[in-house]
Amino acid sequence: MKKLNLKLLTIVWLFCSAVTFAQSRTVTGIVKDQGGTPLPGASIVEKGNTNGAQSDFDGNFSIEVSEPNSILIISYIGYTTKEVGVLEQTNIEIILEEDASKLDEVVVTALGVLSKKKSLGYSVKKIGGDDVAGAREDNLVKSLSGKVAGLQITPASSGIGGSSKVVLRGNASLGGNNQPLYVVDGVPIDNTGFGSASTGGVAVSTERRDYGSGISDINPDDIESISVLKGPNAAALYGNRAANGVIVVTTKKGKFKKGLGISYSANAVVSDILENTLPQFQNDYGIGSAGSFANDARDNWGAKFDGSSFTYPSGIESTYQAQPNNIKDFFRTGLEVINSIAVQGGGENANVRFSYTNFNGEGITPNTELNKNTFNLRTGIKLSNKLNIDSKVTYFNQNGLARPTLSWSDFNPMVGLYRMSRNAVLEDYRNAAIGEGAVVTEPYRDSNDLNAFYTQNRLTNEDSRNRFTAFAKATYTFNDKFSVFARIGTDIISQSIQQIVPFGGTFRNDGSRRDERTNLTETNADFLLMYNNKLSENLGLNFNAGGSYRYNNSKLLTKSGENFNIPTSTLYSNLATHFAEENTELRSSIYSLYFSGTLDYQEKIYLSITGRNDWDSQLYTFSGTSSDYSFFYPSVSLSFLGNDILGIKEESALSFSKLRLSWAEVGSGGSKNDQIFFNLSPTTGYNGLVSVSQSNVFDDPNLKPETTRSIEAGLELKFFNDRLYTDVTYYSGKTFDQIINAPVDASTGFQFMRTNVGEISNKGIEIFVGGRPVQTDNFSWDTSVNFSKNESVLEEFIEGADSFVFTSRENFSVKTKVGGNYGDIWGSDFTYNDSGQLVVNTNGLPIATTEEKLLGNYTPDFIGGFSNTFKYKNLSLDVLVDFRVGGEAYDWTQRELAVTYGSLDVTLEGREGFVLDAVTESGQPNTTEITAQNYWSSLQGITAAHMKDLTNVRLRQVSLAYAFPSKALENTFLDRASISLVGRNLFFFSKEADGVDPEASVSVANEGQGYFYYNLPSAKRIGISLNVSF
Amino acid sequence: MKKTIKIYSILLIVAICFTGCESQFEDFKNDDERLTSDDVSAKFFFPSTQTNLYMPASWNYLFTNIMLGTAYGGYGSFGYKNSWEQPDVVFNITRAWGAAGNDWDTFSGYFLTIDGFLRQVKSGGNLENAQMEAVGKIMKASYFSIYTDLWGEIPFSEVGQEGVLTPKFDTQEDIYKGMIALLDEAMTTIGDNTATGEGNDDLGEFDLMFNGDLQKWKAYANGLKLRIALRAKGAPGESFADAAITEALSNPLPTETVGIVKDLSVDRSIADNEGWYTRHAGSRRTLSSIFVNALQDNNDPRLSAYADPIPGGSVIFGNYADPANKTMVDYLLANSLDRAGVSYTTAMSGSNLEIDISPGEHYVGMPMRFVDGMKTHLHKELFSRQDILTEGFTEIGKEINRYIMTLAEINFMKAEAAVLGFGGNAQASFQAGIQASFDQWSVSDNGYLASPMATLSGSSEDQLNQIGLQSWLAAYMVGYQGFAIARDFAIPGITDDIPNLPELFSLSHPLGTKFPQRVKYRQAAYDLNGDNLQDAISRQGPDDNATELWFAKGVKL
Repeated sequence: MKKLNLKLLTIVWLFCSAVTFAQSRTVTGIVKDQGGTPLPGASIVEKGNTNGAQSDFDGNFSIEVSEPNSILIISYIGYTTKEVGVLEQTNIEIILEEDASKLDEVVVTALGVLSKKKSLGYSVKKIGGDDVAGAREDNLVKSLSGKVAGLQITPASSGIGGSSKVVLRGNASLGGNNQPLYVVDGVPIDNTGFGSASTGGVAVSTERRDYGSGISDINPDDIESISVLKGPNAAALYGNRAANGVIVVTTKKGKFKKGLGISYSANAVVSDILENTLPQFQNDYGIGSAGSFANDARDNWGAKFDGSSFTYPSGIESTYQAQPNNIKDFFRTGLEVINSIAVQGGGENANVRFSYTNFNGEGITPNTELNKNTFNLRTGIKLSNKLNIDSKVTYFNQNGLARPTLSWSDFNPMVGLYRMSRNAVLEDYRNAAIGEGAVVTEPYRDSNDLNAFYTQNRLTNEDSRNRFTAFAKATYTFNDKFSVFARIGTDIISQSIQQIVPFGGTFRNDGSRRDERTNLTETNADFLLMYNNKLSENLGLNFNAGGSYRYNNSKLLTKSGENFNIPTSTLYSNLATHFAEENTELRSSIYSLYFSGTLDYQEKIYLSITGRNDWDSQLYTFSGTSSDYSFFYPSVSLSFLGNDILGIKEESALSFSKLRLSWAEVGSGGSKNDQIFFNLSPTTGYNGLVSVSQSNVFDDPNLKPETTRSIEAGLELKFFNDRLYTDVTYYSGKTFDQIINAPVDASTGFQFMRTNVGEISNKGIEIFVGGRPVQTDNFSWDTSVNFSKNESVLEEFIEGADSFVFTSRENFSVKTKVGGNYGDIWGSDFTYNDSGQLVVNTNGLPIATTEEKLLGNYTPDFIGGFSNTFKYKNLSLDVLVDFRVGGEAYDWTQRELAVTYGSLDVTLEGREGFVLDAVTESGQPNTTEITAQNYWSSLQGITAAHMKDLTNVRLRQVSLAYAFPSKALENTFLDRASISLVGRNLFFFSKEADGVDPEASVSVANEGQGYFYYNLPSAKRIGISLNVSF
Repeated sequence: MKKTIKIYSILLIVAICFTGCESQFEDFKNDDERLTSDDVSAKFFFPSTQTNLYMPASWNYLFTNIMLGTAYGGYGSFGYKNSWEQPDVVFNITRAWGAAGNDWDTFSGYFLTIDGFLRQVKSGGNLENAQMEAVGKIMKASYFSIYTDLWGEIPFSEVGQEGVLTPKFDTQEDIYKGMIALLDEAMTTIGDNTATGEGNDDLGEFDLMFNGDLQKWKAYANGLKLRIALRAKGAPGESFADAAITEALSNPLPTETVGIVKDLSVDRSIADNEGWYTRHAGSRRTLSSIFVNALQDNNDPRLSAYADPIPGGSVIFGNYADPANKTMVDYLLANSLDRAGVSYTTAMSGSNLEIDISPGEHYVGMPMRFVDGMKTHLHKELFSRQDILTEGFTEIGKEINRYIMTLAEINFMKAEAAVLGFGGNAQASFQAGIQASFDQWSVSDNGYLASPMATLSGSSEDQLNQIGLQSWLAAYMVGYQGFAIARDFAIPGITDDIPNLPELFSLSHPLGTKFPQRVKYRQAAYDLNGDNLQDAISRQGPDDNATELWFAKGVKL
């Protein structure tokens, strides 16, 4: 019986085989997307069977099927899985549709690996390229504002093309820049900011200049998508620079498709000052003091305006009346024109995409200009079915003119401008700064404030940057399970900055000149072995292992001098005094080996482990043993897909559920210390004597790596067929053994000690809720809210010296004490008695506390964004509101303009005299009459009087886009056309702080946060954009 | 199999790279452009030990020498109409944070300079040189002497010790003893040596004070020891002053004024930078009424050397009709122009009062510490400013002397010691001191030397008061000595209370009407060495400018 059965079976099998063979057992086909582009790497499986195949680079596949009625299941990440009956076809063309509801589900993760979002044990946010390009910001990171939970953008108030401080999940480092790493197409780029705006400097009184940073060089039109990997858990594999998260930028590339495609976009953006970010001036009183007019006064404590005529000490005749627009009219309407063209073409084995973008901008401050050109060439070549080459070359060129200087500087144009008196006539200033006999200060009287027109028009502040970025990547696919790539990328930046103060420019000297040239090179070479296989029916493995080598080189050459011999020439050779040239070169490198492995059980539970070892030259500086410069750090994460585990069907109310857990550690060698044994003074010393000093930094010989450790837990839920979704994340981390130049008491013999000190903890939550409340055939409404809250605490510091000062001046400081929060602001307060009444002195004026008090913290209590997208047929409307609650900053501008100059509207009250509701030091009710001038003058010493609440709700963006329907373009040469209108930063729904932009800072450095000092007003932007392709 | 070989070969290449990394790292280590001890001589470190202390750059100069040295010393007044500051700016401690803060930074930060030099030249240092170390110790004592007299307790015994990040604060008594010990060590080391070495080891022109002459250093160290001991004399619990005074008097003292002659023609940028903050209208100071009155009332010939005559002319006092303004202006006129005997006419013009000052050479001081509201009335036409030289105004080619220890002071110290019973002719030394001061300012005697001002008389206490006043008058522009002398002697007429008139004077808490006694610690000291600072405050008293320091307490007799 058994034998018979066997025989029978054999016969049947043979028969069947013969039949299938006769009908061709091998099925071939091609997988394409809706646009006709072949999809390489798509998975093709025969239903009910284990045999499978993968499409090659042309999208072609071949698979052996067991029977003619076989059904093939074709799946590709990000596309709807399709089932196709083989029937009698031999060469099947399969068109996969993009899965709109699950678009988010493929993300670029560390090392540029595409991963299914559901497999990740940590939080990643993806943003489409259109969102970035559509915002038309002058620096692309600004367009991320309000879109990502836990991401805070603080632009420097430096005008067009300036840099922005980007903080993900709070500040973790005392000495580091707390900014994320930027990775473009898998290759880290240098995000060094040029100019003093990006570097430290403890005191408020540090001049800041901002020439943008690396990320502002990326052309928004070339961006395909951006992934934000928050925190160390997502970024463990990128190594030490990723402790603050990673922003992964993927740029556009060509497609393996025959034919030529050309797309062109034209954009124009006009910008104007956002008036309520300008100090709020009064228009009732003019120059003088104690209520009486004085023609030589600077301050606005004089008599009420009466329209009478008078003559200034310099002889200029004027009228005693308010000039309500004298500050505002200094600014002009900015204009940015951006033209971008991209050409792509290719065939089966090669493709090319070339793009050129020209940015031509004029800032809101007179004479400020910025021009950028980006050339981009991307090439993909298939050398064989197994070997694929991807390469890119980008050349970027930027020229800036008269970028305004920020913060505490004679050359900050806002200082001279805002200090103008309320009756000063702007035209007098304009006329005084140009032509024969131009004066550098104000035209009316002896003063040391430079005229803002002079600063913007006569001082030469020019910068140019040339940047060359390139990479080449070769991928070799051994088989459908195993592949390897090798990649090398380089980023070469050459920045030059020229500052000239002409003869007669200041009181200091007969002009000066400084030429600075920086050359930065970063080269990254890496390889990765990738293995992907099902170990058994239930277990899948995805294993990557690789290594990298990073090399950084920075060269700085500075030439400077002062006093021009011939007044009309600003040539370097015309300088009477040349300072010694500064010429430094610093190199560093890191060698790394790493792996990551993901094991899944039925694609329901994913367990990932990563590990990385770095060999860092920056730690080698301090000791010679390998145990010091070699360090290892691991991470582990878990993803549970609730619906799959519990068997909840997708059609039920809860359509998707996922729980994430992860733990990660990132080690860092810190940045190289400028340890200089003996320091030769760049200028000759007293009486021309050579002057040498010692380094003021003491180096700890036992330095060890800085470590960030963090845990993260998250829950993702989707309801009602994905119409409603939410993502909640909790994280907690600490950064300890921080390598910083810890300020120490000078009585130690040093100013700083470079050592492992300080521990900062960060914890917070991020909540994202979104949904599509309305969807009809023609209309849809998508809405989402994100919310995040973070708390940073300094847990430990040097014993006996329990605070770290970021910036301080007089009675104001931003510093963190042990147990306190990052960003705390300290200073003097009003004096109150035990019953909380204000106490005044014998002059009837408030008394400053002699002990400093905690007055606030510049970081927000929480931030978030509220985004809405309405689509009607081809018309779409985006509205983005972002909000920030809590946080304070010290308004040094008010401290000067109200206290000394009496020019702000807050000084109007009590001009004729008033009595403060207060008690005297002996407890008697206060009866002493004072004037507004007395009152404000007494507030100079009271820091608390100038603290501003940063809470605000802002209409960040409104954009309206219309895509012409294909029918309308049918008889034209155009394939696609769209037009859009975008408004950014339009107004505040609510803003607590007068006269400032609460989100702007004087610089992007840690030391530039927490105060306003003669900030440039922010700009509102309105742009129009036309995109066509043919 | 082939694939496996490929993988292994890749790994092998990587491994080779890693073994090579060390030599690359070693190479990078030398990237910092730096000098090594083979390139440098210790003398290159030396000029800054003198310039950073006595002639800091512009901004610091404004805050240290002018704001504290001159204003706390009682010589200069703040807040005239066109100035940047309010009249009470340095005395109101909440406002004075800027001034006191910069001052603290300058003084606490100077330790880096002197310690940097001493670390090189000390025994076992890279550039070991015992004679240079001796000179460094004298500079160190000079520095700590000024520093402690401004703040009181400061870190001293544990400074510059490796591993000590938060050195303890020492009592002023211990610091005084420590300074004398430093000076004794230095004098012993110097012995009969005349130079620190030969060639590169000779300080020579790199020593701006003595051109490398060690015997001059030794005499200066002895003078400094005498100054320190005399200042400590009579302070609570001190038991070392008598011995130190006796020793100092039996050894050579400087025979000429110790200072630095500044030759600005050499480096134009120094002149320009120095001038920037001190030559502008907003930075100018008027002279105080105490100072001008003390000179004028006694027909002191130094008046015209110390002060410029008032500019005079016509002045409009705005809104005089307002009673508050009237009170201020009336007080001002009575206590400035009237006090100095200046004649002027008055006329009302609308609600303003217009005065016209008669031409002539008048000297008028401005009272210190007015309320803010007074500023608008403090016209520049009314007051004497400091002579343009002493104010720090710099022009190319002009020389400014920075005085460190004047011959006048050396003589006054001898007179003081004589009155205190250490021997010597008090009257002769007193006269020699005044004469030395006249010589220093190139003025000739107008009978002053024969007047009661220059004649010691009365009780020993009266005589000490006379010596104190003359020392103070002669210490104008000698760093911070005037402020220390005023507190040490508590000179009648100089350190008296200011009028208790709250509507006119800023009786800012906690100084009230009193003469300032010290400078407040900067917040940085709390941040960087807070625990130790709190210990110091608990010993010394509240951290404000009313707390009297140890050296100023007690009586000398």
